[in-house]
Amino acid sequence: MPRPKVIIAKLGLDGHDRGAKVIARALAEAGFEVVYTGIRQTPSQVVETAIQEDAKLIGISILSGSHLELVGELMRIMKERGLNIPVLVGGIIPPEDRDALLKMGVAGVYGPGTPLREIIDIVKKLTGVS
Amino acid sequence: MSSVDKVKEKYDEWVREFLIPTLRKVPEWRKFVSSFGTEIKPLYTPLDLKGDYLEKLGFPGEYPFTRGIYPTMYRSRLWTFREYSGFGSPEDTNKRYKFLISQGQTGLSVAFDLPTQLGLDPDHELAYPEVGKVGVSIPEVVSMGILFDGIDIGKITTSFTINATAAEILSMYIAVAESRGISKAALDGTIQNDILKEFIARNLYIYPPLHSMRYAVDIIAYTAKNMPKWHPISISGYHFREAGATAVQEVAFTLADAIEYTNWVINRWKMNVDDFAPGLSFFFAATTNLFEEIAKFRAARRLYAKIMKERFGAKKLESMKMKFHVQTSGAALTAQQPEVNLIRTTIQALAAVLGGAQSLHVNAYDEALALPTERSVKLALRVQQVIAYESGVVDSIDPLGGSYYIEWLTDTIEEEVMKIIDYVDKLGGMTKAVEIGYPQRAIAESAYQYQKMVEEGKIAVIGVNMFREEEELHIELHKVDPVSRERSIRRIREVRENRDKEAWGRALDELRRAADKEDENIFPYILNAVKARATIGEISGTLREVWGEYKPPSIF
Amino acid sequence: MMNINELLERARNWDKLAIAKLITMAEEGVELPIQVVRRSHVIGITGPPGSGKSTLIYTMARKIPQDRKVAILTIDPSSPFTGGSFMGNRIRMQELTSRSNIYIRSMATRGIRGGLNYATIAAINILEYAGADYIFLETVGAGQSDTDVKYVADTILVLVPPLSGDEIQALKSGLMEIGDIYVVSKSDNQASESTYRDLMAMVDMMKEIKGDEWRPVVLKVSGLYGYGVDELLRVIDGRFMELMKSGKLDSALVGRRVLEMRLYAYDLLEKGLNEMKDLERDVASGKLSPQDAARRLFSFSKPRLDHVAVAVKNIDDAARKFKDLGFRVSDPIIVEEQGVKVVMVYLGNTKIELLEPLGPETTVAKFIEKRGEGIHHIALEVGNINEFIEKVKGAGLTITGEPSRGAEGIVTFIHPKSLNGVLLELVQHLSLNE
Repeated sequence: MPRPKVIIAKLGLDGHDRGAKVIARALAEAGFEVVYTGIRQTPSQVVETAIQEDAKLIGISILSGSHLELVGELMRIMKERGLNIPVLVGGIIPPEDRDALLKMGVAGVYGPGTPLREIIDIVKKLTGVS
Repeated sequence: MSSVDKVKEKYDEWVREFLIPTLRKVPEWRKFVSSFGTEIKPLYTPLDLKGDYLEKLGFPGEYPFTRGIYPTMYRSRLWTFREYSGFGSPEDTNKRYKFLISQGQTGLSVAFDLPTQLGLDPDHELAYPEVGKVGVSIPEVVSMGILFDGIDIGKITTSFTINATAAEILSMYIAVAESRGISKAALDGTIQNDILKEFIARNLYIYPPLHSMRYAVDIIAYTAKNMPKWHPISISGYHFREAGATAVQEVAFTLADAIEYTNWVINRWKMNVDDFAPGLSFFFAATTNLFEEIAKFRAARRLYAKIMKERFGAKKLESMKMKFHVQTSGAALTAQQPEVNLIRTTIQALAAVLGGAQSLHVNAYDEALALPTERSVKLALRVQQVIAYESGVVDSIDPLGGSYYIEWLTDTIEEEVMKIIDYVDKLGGMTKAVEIGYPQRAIAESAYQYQKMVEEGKIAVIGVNMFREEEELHIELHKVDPVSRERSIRRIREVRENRDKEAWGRALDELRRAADKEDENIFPYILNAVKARATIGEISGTLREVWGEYKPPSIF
Repeated sequence: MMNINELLERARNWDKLAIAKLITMAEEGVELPIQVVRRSHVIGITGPPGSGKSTLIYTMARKIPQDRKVAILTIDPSSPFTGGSFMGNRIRMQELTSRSNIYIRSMATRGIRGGLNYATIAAINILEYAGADYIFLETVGAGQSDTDVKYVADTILVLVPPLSGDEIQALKSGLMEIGDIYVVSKSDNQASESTYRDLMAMVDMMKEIKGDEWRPVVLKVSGLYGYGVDELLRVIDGRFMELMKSGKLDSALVGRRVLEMRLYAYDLLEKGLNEMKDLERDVASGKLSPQDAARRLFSFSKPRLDHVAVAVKNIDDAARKFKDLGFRVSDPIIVEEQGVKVVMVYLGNTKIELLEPLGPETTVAKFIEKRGEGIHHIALEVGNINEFIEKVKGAGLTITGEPSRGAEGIVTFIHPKSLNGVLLELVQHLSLNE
């Protein structure tokens, strides 16, 4: 039975980890092996973690408004390191930034109030769990 | 037959002959429970009141302060309208402050950006993307001067949401005041300086718990002697609630923190509780659960008075008064149908006022999407003004006191809170509890259960799990001007170049030595370094070298 | 996608991506061709949950010189209900993630037992092969893994939080006998001091009982505040030197291999349980006894010997003999398609099938007529009969005919003329509702 590993990471300096922890736990309860990195991660730490864990997906949580810079940097390092797995972003993301993130290659952007069910479904789809 | 017995007889009859038959025909449409899981009955009566009026409620301004900490409450002075605000460079924020004051705001509340809160200079690699994003960048004393340019800091009260770098920020404020000829003793305001809740919920900590506690407690000891009007700490439950705590956990962990700080000051500085307790202040959240929140504030106030009097032997009434600021709950805001947030914040603000708050921030309706705009923050201020001037809720003190339901809720919350405080005592106090991750785990568990209840529809959130709409957002959002970051960086480089290098180096050396000596008060050394134009990154970098950095325990 | 050899080649150069992929393969049950040559010091870190294991590993790993390679395996429990796992041990170590000499991997217990699993051992082999100088293995701190760990770790570090007298008594049974180094979380309170003294007394006693050359060490360390870590690392390195000199490092490999076998067996069993849902159905419907089904689990790997068939003239007579020998035999059933009456004799993980011809024209009747009673054919169970038939044809062997209904599923035969005189039956079992 495949048990894809997913990384949930708090990118940047903000300490709001309620959402990240709730989602990590929900994914674990949906049968995933979820590595939670904790807060204050740099883009390169997240990429290194995904490599060392052989993760199939990265979920990023940012509530500090620095999503464009930080996710941009994350995507750049992933490309440089040859890591090609889907990235999802959650947090306080203004609508126009959402499009910019999708353009960078992010697989999905989720704001407050997104049902856990929806997130579990997309993670299943993106990691190939039927 | 006593009158209580008569009520009991009539009550049983009502349940038997009216309530139950009606429920058979028209069942309740949901289960009614409090945020902390206690079931709520259909009706409260004198049968639910416990204890004596004088002992449990008394009069405003008198122990145990259930009805309020002042004899006249809002009839003499309204609470302070204090909107939390800050973004970009100090110039940007200064402009916003002047706007808010012109719109009737009566106190200031500074939001700092993450680098400032974590002791990183704006040109630090980790800081760069975050400069000026969630608050204003104040990495050195010159920026602090600009922040309060044209604002009379001898008159207005200012609150600083700053913790791991609280001493640096307070030092900058003192330095700016002194440069304007205002003595530090005249300054009035608050620094949050509550590091325990950073470890538990807000996560903007730097040093390990014991060093962090020393840092916080040294500030309290210093201001108690030198700045009589200043509140050197705002012991915060707000962030617990935002992280998912129930109302009971919010109050319990806050009071357990208060006990820990008080113990520390007494043990470390051999001070008498009455010499510093009047300076302690508090900070809570207000969610949309109106009655529960009102009862929560009343229970917290009464319990704090008891703790200070009975546990710490406080003699002065001032030491037993819980002075608290309230912010409406950010986690209760929705990104969906954002205008609905205005309705929510109105109810939340009402809870704070009916609960007897001394100071209030109302969130702007667009904050689930971005920082507030000038327009949205003005509307938030207007919410306070409508409650204060139009609604009439300020006319009489503690107008809900004596309501059977409110008093039952107040008693119940107090009892539940005490259970948690007893448990923390068993663990050896809050610093120990934090080191092993107890409150962190408890809050994470509540957060998860809350989210599951929202998903299952057991907790209603309009626009999210009820009355959803497919919508295109058409609201104007705040944007941080990218130029302000460059401005911050340019300024800090100028400061570094133009200072007296020798005085600067000496101040940091002295700070390093003081940090290593456990019995020194660290604050004067930080003040000295700030005056020598050391930056926030240099000061906290020096302390990091000596004290190390904190790694949190696993939460699960 | 790289093949195993390429990955192994790259892992040899401490390529973390390759190491990561190899560990995933091991987790998925792939057997890796690795010959372990001892070079790593495998240090098991155990102790009750919340005693600060990850924090201590972080503090040690940070202080190890950057020219030494450090691998950290941290084990988290899997949910027995969903199989998922919340893995939060990296939180304290993330600062080390970007250091080139450090590799960190979270692994879930996955198995039925909730302790170490086969993949943990495989991961240790991979990391030793990749050249790690230190391998820290952080256990979940409860249950089976804490006794397993002694077979794979060269050094066991038991982390003991400050405890009351009663608590330390409870902890002593089990955990306390395996430690090479005991670390008391340093704290300035009374409990820390008394725990330390208690442990010292216990270790003195153990030394006499064990008669080992290594004398267990008790240290006071604070991972959180960094006190005592230098000394701990000195003790760890000192022990490694001793293990090398005494040859114990090499002999430890035996324990690791034996544990690997046992854990692999658990792993296979678990996979069998998951894959053989039809067995569960058969038990549920009463077709198989729970015991029979359980026995079958140990032979789920296919193709396997399903049965040996014996042609007999009088099946009741033959069945009685086996019954008298103590075997369980089935009631006779008639299989028209094959022209036989059948009785199964159940053996551990296979069967003997007794066949009595239904009439003189049947193949079994002709067999008896020509060769007398005796072994008629051998049957293999295959997972998918049609796929296997392709293989048979590919090998140039002859199939006797299209697959048809047999006593316990779909069957066909390989002609004895093409297989050295053996009539080989192929069976694909069907569950009841198929």
